[in-house]
Amino acid sequence: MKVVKQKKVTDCYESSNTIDLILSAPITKPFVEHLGQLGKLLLFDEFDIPYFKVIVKGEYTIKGAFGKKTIRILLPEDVEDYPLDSLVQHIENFNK
Amino acid sequence: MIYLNNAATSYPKPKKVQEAVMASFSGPLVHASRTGMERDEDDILYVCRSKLADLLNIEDPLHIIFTSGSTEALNLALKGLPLEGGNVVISAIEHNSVIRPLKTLEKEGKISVTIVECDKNGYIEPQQFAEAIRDDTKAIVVNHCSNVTGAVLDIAEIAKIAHSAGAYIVVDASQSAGAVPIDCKNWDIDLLAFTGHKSLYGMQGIGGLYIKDGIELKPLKVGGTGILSELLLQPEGFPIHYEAGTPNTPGIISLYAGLQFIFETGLENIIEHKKKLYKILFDELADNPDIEIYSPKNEHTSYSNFCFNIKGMVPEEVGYVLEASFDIWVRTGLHCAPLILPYLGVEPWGTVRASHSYFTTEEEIYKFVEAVKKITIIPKRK
Repeated sequence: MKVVKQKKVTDCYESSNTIDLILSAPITKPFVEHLGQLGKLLLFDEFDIPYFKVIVKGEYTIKGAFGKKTIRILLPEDVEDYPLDSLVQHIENFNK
Repeated sequence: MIYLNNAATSYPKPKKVQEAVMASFSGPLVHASRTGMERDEDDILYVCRSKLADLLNIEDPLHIIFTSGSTEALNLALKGLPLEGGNVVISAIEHNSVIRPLKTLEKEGKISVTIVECDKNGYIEPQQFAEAIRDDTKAIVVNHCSNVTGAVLDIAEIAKIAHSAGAYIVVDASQSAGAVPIDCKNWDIDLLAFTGHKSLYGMQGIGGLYIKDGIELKPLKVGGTGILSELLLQPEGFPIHYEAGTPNTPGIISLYAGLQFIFETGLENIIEHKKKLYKILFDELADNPDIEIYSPKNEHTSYSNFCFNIKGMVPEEVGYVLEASFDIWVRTGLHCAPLILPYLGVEPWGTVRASHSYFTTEEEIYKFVEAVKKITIIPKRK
């Protein structure tokens, strides 16, 4: 999996410090489980399209849905230019 | 996709609107009587003004000025009225299209602004405006229908209060035009701003301002009018004194087609359909302990907006999951109406707003209801 683009989300009220990561391939269950290694995985697979959250305590929350090519990262409000290198690396290690 | 964001912009548009807009590009859009001063039945500007006058009960169609939307119409009204040195009364349910022009005038030291509180559903009793009026109040500027909760105010009574104090009544009908009955003549409205792309089913980029006979505004813009070109100053008279530049003819064509759709369908039938869907939403969700509803249930409502939150969830996440997992589009956050938040008790995140239209089906509403019920498990799973 590759991160194709990082996009600052300006209209998100859940956190004013939000980044969307655009991925090279659709999100699958194995990929979500791979992300889940980073923290606590909450999976709602009873929804029409399964939704997930990965809470990395004290760091950030990842959320997204199966089949999409975007995940949303809610970062701490008070940290500008939060370093996402290790997350990007973890994503790109999937199916390498 | 289930589209429940009609309070932002209506979708789909009636087939008639789509066809009219497409047809408008099959020939040149230049028109001989672009000003509406000639009462030519073939002049799309005049026939559109006439249809608007029928819908809004306006005596002279030429007193309807075309603008790019409500924001421009409200800027024309609020910057054009002689308000300097006075007080303006607004309400807590105003949109930023009213708040920002007036707050800018206040910051420039030209006016003062008084804000009337609303209740937990966004409703305001007319008497509250009477209590807010001061000796120097020059206008009441009020939202007919809240774009957040859908609460509808009694404009006729508020207009009486304004006029008894010698103040103007300026109405923002962005949400109400085409959604609820409006009667400019009998309600004695001085200025009424509307947009074409919501419940009037037209395109984005077209709207207007009704100006009552006898009221003079300073124009927001001056320039070419297509006639009286020998004059070096903006010509007098309605509507050209306020309409400089090439008109948005495709937008006006779309608006006219939208108005035709409303008259053919019947405003009462449109309201009845939305009322039926609104009842389903309340029947299915009002007693759910995980959901807080902010829209008025039975009265003082447009039956168009269902404004709510799921307890323990930020509205943005509710909207995100509705779209990502159920392909249902709603609007979340502050809805460009920041003053209402404390009265609903929804600071700082705002609310989720699901707004249906005449084209929304019962099946879609039930799918939305089921999705919302499913989403309520998110905050419970730790």
